[in-house]
Amino acid sequence: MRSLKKNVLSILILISITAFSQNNTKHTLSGYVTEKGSGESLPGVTIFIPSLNTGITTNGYGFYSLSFPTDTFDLVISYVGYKAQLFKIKLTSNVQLDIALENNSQLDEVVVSAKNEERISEDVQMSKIDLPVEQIKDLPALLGEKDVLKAIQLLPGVQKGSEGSSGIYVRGGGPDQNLIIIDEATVYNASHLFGFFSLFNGDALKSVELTKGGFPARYGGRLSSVIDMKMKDGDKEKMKSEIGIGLISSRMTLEGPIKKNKASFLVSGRRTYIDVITRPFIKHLNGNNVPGYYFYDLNAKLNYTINYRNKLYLSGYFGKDKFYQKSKVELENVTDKSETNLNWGNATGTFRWNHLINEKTFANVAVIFSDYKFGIGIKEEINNDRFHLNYSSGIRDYSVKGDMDFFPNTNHSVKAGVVATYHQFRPNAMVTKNSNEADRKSKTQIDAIETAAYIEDDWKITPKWRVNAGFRLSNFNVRTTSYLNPEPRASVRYAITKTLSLKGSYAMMNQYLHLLSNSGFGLPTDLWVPATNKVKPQKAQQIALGIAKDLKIIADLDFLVSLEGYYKKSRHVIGYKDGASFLNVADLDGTGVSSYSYEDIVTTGSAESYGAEFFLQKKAGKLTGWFGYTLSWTWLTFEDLNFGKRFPARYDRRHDISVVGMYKLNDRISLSAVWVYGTGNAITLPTASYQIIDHAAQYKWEDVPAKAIANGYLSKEDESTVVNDHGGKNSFRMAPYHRLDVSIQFHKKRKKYERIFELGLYNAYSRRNPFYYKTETNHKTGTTKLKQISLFPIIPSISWTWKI
Amino acid sequence: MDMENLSITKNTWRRSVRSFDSKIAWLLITACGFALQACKKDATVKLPDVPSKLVIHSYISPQDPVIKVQVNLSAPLYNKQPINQFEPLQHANVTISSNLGSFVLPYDADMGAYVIDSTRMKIRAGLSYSLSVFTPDGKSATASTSIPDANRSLTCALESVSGTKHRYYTIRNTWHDPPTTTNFYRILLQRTSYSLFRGDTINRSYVSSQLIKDTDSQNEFITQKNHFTIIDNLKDSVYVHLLHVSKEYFSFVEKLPEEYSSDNPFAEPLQIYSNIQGGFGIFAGYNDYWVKVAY
Repeated sequence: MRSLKKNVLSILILISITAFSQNNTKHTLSGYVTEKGSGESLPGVTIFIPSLNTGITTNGYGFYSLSFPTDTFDLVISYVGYKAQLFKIKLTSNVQLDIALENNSQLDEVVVSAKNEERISEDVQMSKIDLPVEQIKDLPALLGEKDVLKAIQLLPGVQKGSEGSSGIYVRGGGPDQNLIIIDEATVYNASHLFGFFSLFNGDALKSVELTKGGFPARYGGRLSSVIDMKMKDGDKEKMKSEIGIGLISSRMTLEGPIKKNKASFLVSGRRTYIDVITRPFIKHLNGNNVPGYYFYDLNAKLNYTINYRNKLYLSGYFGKDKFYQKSKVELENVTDKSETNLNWGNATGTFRWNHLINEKTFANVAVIFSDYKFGIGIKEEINNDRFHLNYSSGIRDYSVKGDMDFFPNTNHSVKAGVVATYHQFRPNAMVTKNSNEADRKSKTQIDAIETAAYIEDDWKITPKWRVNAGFRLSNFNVRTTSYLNPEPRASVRYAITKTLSLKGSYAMMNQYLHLLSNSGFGLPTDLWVPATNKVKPQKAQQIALGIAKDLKIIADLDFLVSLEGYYKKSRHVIGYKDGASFLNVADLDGTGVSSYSYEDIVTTGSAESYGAEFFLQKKAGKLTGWFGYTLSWTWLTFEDLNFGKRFPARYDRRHDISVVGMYKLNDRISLSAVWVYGTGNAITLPTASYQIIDHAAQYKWEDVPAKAIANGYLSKEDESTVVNDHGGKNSFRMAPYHRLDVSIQFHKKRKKYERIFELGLYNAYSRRNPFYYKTETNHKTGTTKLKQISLFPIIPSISWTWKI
Repeated sequence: MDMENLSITKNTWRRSVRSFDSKIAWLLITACGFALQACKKDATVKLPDVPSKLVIHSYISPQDPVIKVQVNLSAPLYNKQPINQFEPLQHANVTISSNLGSFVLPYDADMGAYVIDSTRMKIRAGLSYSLSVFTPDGKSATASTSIPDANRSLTCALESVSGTKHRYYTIRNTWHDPPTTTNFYRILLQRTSYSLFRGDTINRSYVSSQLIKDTDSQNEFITQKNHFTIIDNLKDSVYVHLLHVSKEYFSFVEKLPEEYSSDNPFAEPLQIYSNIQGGFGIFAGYNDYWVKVAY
């Protein structure tokens, strides 16, 4: 470990020496890249200089900076979905060049005036995929509800959990190991309706980026992936709105300038109306017993440009799910009224200040708030006796973060920053009110502080070698325990040819939060708890090797191809001891004393995953989409589970295929289709039943003590139990999962608005995919059958969208 | 509505909150609506093809007047044949061997088990025993265990008594745990029961059981408490048995379910330990030492 630290330190020193020791006769070309017409800043845009075969991408706020000696050269600015632009630059002094790129959809026909220079083989970062939000919105979706997380599930290396679930399993890691951030705020429970829909509908989002390995040092706190979402700033030039009407929900987005080119806003909301539609029917069927469910979410953002060097952003996300049931029973002279509700939701808020220190240095300071809360409310009234119960659990974060981008010259791009988060974990809080007793209150809260500092440098050593070396130091304080962990990170690229490169990466990650989850479905009851002195933080190391190729078959037929292999080992991952349930943690009988602590019911073990991923993507043209294939293995080893022998994880998936295609037939009609295939989940299935007898039965019902010990009367039925044998843990495979979704969109462009009418089919050939299995015994014949329960047969959907 | 009824109702509420698992499962099902029920069908996957295996239970100790091995068969699920009723298997060849020799245990129809008298086959602390079972139709299973020493350091004290009509007793048990070895124990409490008709002692019944692993305690002496309730208001004694058990014994009993249910499709199923090679069940040695405590 010491030598590792030493090595990392010497690398960092080397970076700083080479970074800062350049001569000062160079000039800097810097500026912001925005979208033409809306002023929306564009992150990830490639700025490329073909003559030098070097380039850079814009940062999260659309800023770039390049420094060269005096020279004249061509500059190509390109971004998927946008018209590439070519500039001829004569750099004799520092130049500020702000660029506005034109969206392809704004063009009548695609005119390529410059070659798109965005290349996968150029980037040093591996295991990272950008998903254009517009593509997500073109994909077919369950009930027409466009969903960012479900689009991410279609990428290689990413697996979905159960049917319909938005849970994400990246390279063998669980859903708790994904860092999901929206405008830098962590979102703790990213699903609506028990995981069938995710929180993110796409209308308010500018970019979505998935990193599944080779993590840059700026990210930390989770083991398996980072899903970084950035909200749109809001159109700075004109008012725009988008209204969507679907089968179960409607959504609306409104954005526009508050002060032209100075301040703008965006508000985007969605609400379901299943409850409103079904209420009359349920009332008709159930009489006085009325259940209902709804969810809504709301994104809002304000931004204000003080001057060229200073910008402010305020953004927030609010979402809530609520399930309720009301009933009234009148029997003779007793009236029993009851009301039960379950509700859960996230709220996040981010305030940011961008400050351009000079043309080479960009800084950002953020204050971030995130809260997740789950609650149960029960009210019951029997005549005049009342009983109220309120239970809640959740997590709340307050963070302060400072990040800096420094571009000393064309060969270096340095990022550094610090972050501190104050976590409040509230595993349970309970209030009971009872008309015959005193009120009872109980509350558990655990506070923790998580801090980290990082530095990373993207360094073009030679035209062929490029390195992103980084180091993160993370610290976690809870109760009297403190953890301090160094996290070295490195990615290397070697360019074999201009369009073919080899890549390798290593990352060490620590996660100080555990998710107690009963099911892995992303249920709202899943509970975040801190690592403590008893339950250690999760730790993972991952290495990945890959090859990336930009393939051009003929003009307008560009492909990105990548093949990656990875190996990941995680320690201190948690599982439940046999028979334990985290619901035991909650003190639900209101006595104020929790009889269990989560530290006692979890068991820690290790996970090992390895595999290979193939990805072929076509980002531009009439036909876009991708083909992804993953071959993977995931093993778990827990001393307390499966008698210490390793077993496959439930979502160990040997083969996973996704084919995604979007075809623009003409200006009016576009088609899209998704086909997925995955090996069945590994589950534990009963295979035989037998009788077991506890020795204690021999100590029952005996005449004479001495003799009693032995002559057990054991055939008595009440002293034996019939149990099932399951073979090994997760030794049975569910039937493979496959599904085809298709949709067709009809676009109608008018002068003042555009209307999109979409028809979709989820599970087009109505494959009965297994959701779970259960055994059923016919008591007449005594035979047992295995039954498969499936969720969604073919489900059509219809939706309208108006963009005004 | 009187208070008692109200408190029952309240308990029902609390129970309904507590059975949150099932509530969530129910919510999921509601959320999926009728589609869920419509989508139930026979599974088409290849089912595990497992044969019927021998199920063996035998707990042996130096205190046993007879050594007994119970044998029956497991019932593979998904078979066309109906599940058997776990009748004892009668025609097996059951042999227990140790350094002291091999003994074939004959079938005793009254006890429904293979039995041999301890005067013929000795069970001694420190020795290893192996069991083999063969059936005429070719099934076989083997297992082995060893017998721990008796722990005679047990002392018990009645710590507290509370309640009037129903009395709640707490008993404190302490014993010395040899520090150099890993030891497993089970405390079993028996009390005398009374015949309701004759009012005299007729038998003992076990009222409490606890498993203890010495790695859970850092001390050289293990202290443990048992609670029991007496409702018949008659004074007598409890018998505290300190069983020094083999690792197999501990592993098996540790995971025995109090209530076994395989109904919840979302719960991870319980895996039952077995040391029977080629079958299920347990062959485990233990050594019993007991103390009588009057109350």
